[in-house]
Amino acid sequence: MSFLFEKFLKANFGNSYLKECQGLFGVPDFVFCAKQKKDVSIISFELKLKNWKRAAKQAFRYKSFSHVSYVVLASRSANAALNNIEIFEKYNIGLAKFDNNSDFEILFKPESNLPYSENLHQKIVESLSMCSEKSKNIQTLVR
Amino acid sequence: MIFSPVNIDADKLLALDGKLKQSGFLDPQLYLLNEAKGTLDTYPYFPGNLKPDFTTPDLDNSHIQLAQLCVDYQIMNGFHYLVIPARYYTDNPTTYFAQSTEYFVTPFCDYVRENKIQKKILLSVIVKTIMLTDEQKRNEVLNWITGHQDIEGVYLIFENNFSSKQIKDFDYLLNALKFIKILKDNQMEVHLGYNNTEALLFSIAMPDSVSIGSYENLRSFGIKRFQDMEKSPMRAPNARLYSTQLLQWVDYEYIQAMKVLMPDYEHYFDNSEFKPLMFKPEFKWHFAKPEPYKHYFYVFDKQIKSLPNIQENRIEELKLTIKNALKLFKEIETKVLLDDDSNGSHLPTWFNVINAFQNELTI
Repeated sequence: MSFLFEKFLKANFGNSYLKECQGLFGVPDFVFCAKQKKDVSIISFELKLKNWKRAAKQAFRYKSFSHVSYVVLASRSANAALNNIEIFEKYNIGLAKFDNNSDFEILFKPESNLPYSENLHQKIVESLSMCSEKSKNIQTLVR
Repeated sequence: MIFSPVNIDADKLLALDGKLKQSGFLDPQLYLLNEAKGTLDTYPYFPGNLKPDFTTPDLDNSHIQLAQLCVDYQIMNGFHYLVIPARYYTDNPTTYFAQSTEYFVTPFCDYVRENKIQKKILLSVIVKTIMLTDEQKRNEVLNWITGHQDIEGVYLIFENNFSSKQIKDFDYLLNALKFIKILKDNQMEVHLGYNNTEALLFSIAMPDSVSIGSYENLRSFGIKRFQDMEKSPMRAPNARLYSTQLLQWVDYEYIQAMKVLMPDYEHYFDNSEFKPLMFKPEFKWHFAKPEPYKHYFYVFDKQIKSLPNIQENRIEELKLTIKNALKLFKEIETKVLLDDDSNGSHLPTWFNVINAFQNELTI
């Protein structure tokens, strides 16, 4: 799932991302960076084959340094999460499903919020120094 | 106060103000015979000082000398209790108790008796999970502890192999309470070492003391603390803050989220002289910063000391505190999605354990 999603991420949003970034609050599978003039947006993704509850808790942690945080579930296990969509709405965590054909469907699109921790946000921005303005389609991930 | 040889040089401990030592005791830390972790080898009874590369067979010839050196050192310090050490094995050999009696208990008690030393003797006991869950093993260790005439009490250490920060195993916790109760029913003093917040729960079995530790490795017993792990990679824990209302150490990053999402977030955390500094935006949170631990010592000590002296009242008060904590977690989780090491998920288990223990008391 991770390999396919990385290909999908590159093809659709650009290559301004880090994989399994350590030293933050949790270890997101991907942290994507988008730049518009001086504004930097950080979007984190937690990929899971199943266990949406655990994924939601992990994704919430990433809100410490991200503007947007997504749980991306394998399509076959997304229904259980969809039945609990109010959890994702309540905590403003994005929910999407992804399958072997690289079909990506957003089930809940979150708002962009300021990260909770300025220190961690700064840390990830410094790590993503290659963050470029060439990133594309970011608006499709944010309400 | 419990003094730890791996953390303080033997001479420094000797020079320490006697008043600090009068009500405490030494944890001799002979868990592993040949590991000179920290300053352990500055102690006269450290086996490596009797013979290089000291191993178990060497105890045959050295156990009397070792016991004498260990007692003498404790006497010189003027501790309130004399503590008999315990050895640690990943899996105890079948001869563990016979060996412990021969190498430690008998030579210690003989030396104390022969020299007419008037101090209470505590026996260190590492309680492995199997000793709590397996009735036969439990009876074996309890029979062994209570079978020594000269021993007034135990320095009880529950080995903690759990991966979660708080213990959430119903059987483990209930059996730990029953274990303490049996020792108390046998008129033994019980002093609990290496406790995390479970100290509060264990207190309902009415032990004589519970310990309060600062760093995580002082709040749960694991043998790694006594092994030379210099070459092994160590993962630093996240900074956390304890709340007496929540009965939980909360990861600092969640406190940051609470700060943004909950205007009254500070109310969930106790006041102390350290709190104003910790809640300043410029405070750099890190697990090695002293303030969160000093704060914990201060607020947890107050919480423990405020427990009612009567068991029934203590149990009811703890149940009320747990109920209140669960209510507060509900409030927090309307805004902040906490993980299982910060969300009070141990508390329903605590509550059930208390009820089960209460039933035991009334039988």
